[in-house]
Amino acid sequence: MTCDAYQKLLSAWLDRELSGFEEQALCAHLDHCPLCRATWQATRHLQERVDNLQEPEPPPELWERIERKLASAQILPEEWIVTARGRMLTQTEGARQCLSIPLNRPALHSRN
Amino acid sequence: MQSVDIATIHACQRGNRDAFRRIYEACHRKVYTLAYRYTNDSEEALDLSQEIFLRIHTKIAGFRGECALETWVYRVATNTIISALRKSRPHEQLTEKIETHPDTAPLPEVYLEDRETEQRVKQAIAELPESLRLAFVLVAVEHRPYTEAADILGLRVKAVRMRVSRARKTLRSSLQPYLDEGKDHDM
Repeated sequence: MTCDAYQKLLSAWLDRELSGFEEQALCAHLDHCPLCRATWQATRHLQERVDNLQEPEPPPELWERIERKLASAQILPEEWIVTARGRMLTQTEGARQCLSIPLNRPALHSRN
Repeated sequence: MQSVDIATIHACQRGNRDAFRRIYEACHRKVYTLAYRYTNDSEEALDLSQEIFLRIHTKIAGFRGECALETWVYRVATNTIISALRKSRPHEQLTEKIETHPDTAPLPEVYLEDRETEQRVKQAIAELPESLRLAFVLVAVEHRPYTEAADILGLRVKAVRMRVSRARKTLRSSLQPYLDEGKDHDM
């Protein structure tokens, strides 16, 4: 394997996503490759910087904005409908399958 | 993300607003963090978070429990982020203003350097190519396993691994001066 290939393993090693075999091969390579060791160090330092990022605080007005939008637009969850076989589907699914029947369908009268 | 019980999910699916509020409380921090890490802009993140929750409210009836609610929420969030930002104006420099310190005394140099480094790191993440950014945020920022990130993004695990690796390579390059500080000399 080339250094380029080993360096592609470094990210997964940091994430603990390497197989045992891959990890063994990578560690053996790092033991005698200063270039890849330097890349590993930079990868670790980068991750440390990322881990030190402050978690952003959601602004308190987020919920108010959502509530206002729901109230003004009268956004409702998709309604449930019942199929001829008694399955419950959302309106989108029902429209797709063309199986929906209204719950209060008027009875059909036979013609004389 | 706090867990939400099945009764709350069902109540929300029937249109119960209190149940939707409980789902919001359980996941709004994670949703906002994802949007913020993606854009590095608090206003943009606020708009996106609002859009995400409106979509959750509309679509929750379609949640069948085929995965954890958290995974489903993240799927909605990532899809919303991708489509919303593609529709909006093309790449602008999304920068976060550094808050000014009210104290008139000069700030310690170390503090300033740390603040600047943090801004640079956030900026660099927000400037990653779209195809790499979400995978990087889910894995490297939120520490999700590759399988979970793959499930959320609708990708294979191998694709997630490759995207995260490429994202790190891009960030190592763009942030090199900031990574050279405090370099270890021992192995």
